Amino acid sequence: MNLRAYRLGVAMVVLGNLAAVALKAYAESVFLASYGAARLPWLLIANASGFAAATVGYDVIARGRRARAADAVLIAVLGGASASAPALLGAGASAVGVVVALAAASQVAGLAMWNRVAAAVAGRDARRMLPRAGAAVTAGGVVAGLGAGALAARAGLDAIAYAGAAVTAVALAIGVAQDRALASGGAPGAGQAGAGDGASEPPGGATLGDVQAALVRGLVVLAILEAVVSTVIDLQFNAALKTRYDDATRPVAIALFLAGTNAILFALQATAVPRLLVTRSLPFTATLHPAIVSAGYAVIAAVTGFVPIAGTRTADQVMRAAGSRTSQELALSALPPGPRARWKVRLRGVAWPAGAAVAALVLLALGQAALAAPAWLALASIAIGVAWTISARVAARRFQAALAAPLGIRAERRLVDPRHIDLATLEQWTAAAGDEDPRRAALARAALTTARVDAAALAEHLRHDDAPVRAAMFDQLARAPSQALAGELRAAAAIEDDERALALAIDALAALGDAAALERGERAALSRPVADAIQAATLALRGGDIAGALPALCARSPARAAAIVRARRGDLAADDLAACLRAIAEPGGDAAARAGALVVIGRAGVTGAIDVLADAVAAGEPAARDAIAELDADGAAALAPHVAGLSIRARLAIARALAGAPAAAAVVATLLADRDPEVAHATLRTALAITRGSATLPAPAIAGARDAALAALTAHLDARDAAAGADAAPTACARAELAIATARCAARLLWACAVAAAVDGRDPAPLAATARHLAGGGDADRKRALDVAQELGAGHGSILAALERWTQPAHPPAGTGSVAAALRDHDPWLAELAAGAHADLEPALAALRRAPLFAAVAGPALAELAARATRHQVAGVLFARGDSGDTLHVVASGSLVARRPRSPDRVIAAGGVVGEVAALSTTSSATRAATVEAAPGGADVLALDRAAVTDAARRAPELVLAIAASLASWLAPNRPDVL
Amino acid sequence: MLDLLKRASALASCALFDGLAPAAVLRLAERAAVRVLAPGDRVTTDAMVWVVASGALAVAAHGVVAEIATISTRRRAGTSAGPGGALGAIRVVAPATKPVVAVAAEASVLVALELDDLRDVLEEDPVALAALAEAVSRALLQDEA
Repeated sequence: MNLRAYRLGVAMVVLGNLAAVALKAYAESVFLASYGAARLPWLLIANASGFAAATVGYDVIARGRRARAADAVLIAVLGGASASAPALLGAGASAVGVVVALAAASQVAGLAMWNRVAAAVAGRDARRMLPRAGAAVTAGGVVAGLGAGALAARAGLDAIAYAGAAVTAVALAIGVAQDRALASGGAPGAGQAGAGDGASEPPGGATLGDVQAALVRGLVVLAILEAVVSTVIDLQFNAALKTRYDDATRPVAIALFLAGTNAILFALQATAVPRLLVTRSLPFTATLHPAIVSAGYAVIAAVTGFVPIAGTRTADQVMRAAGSRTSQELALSALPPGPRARWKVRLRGVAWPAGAAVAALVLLALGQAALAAPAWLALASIAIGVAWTISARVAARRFQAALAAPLGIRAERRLVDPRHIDLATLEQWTAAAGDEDPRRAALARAALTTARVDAAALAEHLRHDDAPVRAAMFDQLARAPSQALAGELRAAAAIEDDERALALAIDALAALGDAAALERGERAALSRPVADAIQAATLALRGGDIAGALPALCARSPARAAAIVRARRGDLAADDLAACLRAIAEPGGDAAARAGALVVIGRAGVTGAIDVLADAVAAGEPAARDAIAELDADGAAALAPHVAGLSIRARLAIARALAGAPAAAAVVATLLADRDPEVAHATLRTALAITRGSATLPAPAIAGARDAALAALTAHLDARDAAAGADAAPTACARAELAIATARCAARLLWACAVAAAVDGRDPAPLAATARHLAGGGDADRKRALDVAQELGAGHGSILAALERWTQPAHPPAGTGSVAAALRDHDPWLAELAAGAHADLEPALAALRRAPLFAAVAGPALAELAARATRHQVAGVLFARGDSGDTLHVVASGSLVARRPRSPDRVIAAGGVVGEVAALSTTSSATRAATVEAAPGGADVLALDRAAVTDAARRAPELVLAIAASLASWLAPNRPDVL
Repeated sequence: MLDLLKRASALASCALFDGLAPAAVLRLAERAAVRVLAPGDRVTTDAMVWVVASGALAVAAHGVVAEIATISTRRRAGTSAGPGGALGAIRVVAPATKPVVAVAAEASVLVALELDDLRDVLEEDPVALAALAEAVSRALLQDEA
């Protein structure tokens, strides 16, 4: 925010309001003296008309992009009108004309001055500071009212007009100073459409997009409905006042009401409203006013009398200024600067008065009948209040869409829950699960696993006409046993005549521990599938030489092997089982048996062999990834206690592989609590993936992950502050790593919020997209993303406060803070770096970090890569076109030149990279596409061989993303059509 | 229209999602939409990634040629995409890439993914990421050749 411009703007608007209140008192006094109280309604109509006309005039001028000049002229006109009013009246000018001119000019000038205050603040600053400016104006209004009375008593009525003119002149002068402050210090609230600072789109746009136009339409409807209800309660209040108080006591009562209203308003604007606006979303804030007024009308409908009406009217006045006006200001911040200012004036100067006029005309037509039936009037108001509440919510949702649109973030989507399927779909999917195409069958099985189908619905499919459907059904029951279907299953197995289906039926019975599996098998011809099934069932139900059978079972049916190991765990010595599985999984042996053994180790949680699975996952072995993806809930529960003892690489690989295992919530929950920031980061992303689907995670684990992410971000921000103030400041490399780690913490926190949103049944995708902009965008995008995060209900106030703190500059602590101490518990590697423990790595680390390719890679992963980099001086040719190679080179200093036929030479400066394809290629070596040599003066490069890059990519997949982006940027200009 | 499993099958037939776990493909399919094209109908890659479930499309970059081209000239000017082919995926990793326009050469069914949804998958699944990187790398090498 531009603090100086804000303060000057507040001073200006406070003085403007001082003048407006004083001049209103003067104008009404002049009118009463000229025409008497009976004609006051006409004054109201004339004032509304004058305001509307002035609004239209101001709009025409402002549309011509002369808004600042128009503002200055407007304030000057107000001052001139004030100063000349007594003389004009003395010369016989129309009192109505003078009064209307003063009122209209002061109202429009007030709006124009408010626009200047709004120009000085943006985003969460606007949410926090605009209500406080409103509080200052409220306090100023009270002072003006009291002051005008005192001044009139001492110096006569005309003195008020002159004082108003003098105050206006001061406001004009402050306005000039504020203009300069905005020019020199920036206008964050005027230079952009939205709450950021505008880099996402060109400033000064005058036209509205579809989303913004929809927002404006919503705000117009909202203003009209608000005006209708407010006019009705105003009328009822005035009528009740007239009935309750006589002529002598009424002014005192009015004064007390005004004072009370303003006191409550001031308190809310100064304290509660800013807090509300920076913690809650607009759909909540904007509906407070209509909800409270509607509730007040409900009381009026139930209890007749003065108190409910007075209370509702007071609530309306307070909430209009404290809630609706501020919400409207916020909603308009999603418009480009030109339309933003103009639409505020149109809404308040045209739409609102139009609504009030319609309500007044209707009430006029109804006459005394309306007042004579307050309960009916209240019911009608409640009906309108409901419509008003709905329209407030609609407009607020449209604001959210308009706010997020420049970032390309879509609104939350309502997805069909894939867990609920009808019988026809069940039959199709079941048939597909028996498909000959293994990929399609696997997809169908995965879909069926997550589908919530009533057991009774499954029963009829157990006797389906098609054998593949029956087989798929039995397979499903073998994977997810259901005691409710035990009888049906037994009956279906008894008459099953298809060998494959029968084998699976025996598996399903065995999974239930049902000995009928063996009885049915004994009556069947011993075909290979049935014999295998009977052997497995016998082992599972009665035990036997399990170790001897495991190699073949692992190779042919890992699921059966895992089921047997689970069922007969007590018969097996843990060490023997582990040794057996280790032997089966020996590298170089039967690949199918090894893959099966990995499944068994994972599903049965075989402690003594977990490291085999962990190493295989960490090495990127597809069979190991599949074994993790195959984990069911029981397998995950068995594996979960053992993952904490694995290496970081293994935990990272498992965390990522779990994205394909929606049933493995137990392992995800365990890894969410991992103390290593890389593991916690990867697991949260996985949690986001599986909860975006149909999986659920335990709420305590998510809450814990969110708290841990918040604590990590806070620690990194403390470290940032300490680094800014430390006498022995960390190195530039450590500072850069701290900034990157902090951005990753911010993303992690928002992912945690997105996971929590998913658990609440909301679409987490918009929050995930917001995290992307928050962590990777420029300053402007980050501020807007923060606003979007709040509007998407990211989380409680402390989360938003931490994220906001991150977007602001560091504040050195008053005492001595230590970077390493702040980070020790949350990011040990970074704490060591800050303490100078990795000084030998810093040059290579800093050189790699300069390359966009490595910009997003986590510090520890990049440090590992830096340790494997070799530094070379290049004087001549680095490699020639057509050479084979497997090394990637990063320019640390100097520059290289790449030469290709029919292409201009390309200079690769420090931070540039050559050889991405070679490092990525899956073949033994890739052919170089260009000749690369050192530019005059030579170059210093870091060489990374494919093995190092591959290892780094396994630990930090964002490196692959960056390489893909780099290659795509080469491909895109010529061939955007190939992929 | 394609149900969830058919959408998932269409996605799984695309090389980009070949090695993805079935659960991850299903998640993506849950968020995917379906577009049925008659011959001559167009789609662009402005905001979506398209995976061809069935049919064939002629693809060309935006520009004069694209605006005036018939299906046959588009075939000469650009590439074609058949079942399992992806259009616009390159924009997920290189957002500055010019959108392309594709015209259905025959009745076609496409599965549409939003860019953010695909990016989520890439950020979450190293397998998909590796597949994309390899596809881009292969296309680059072919272009070089």
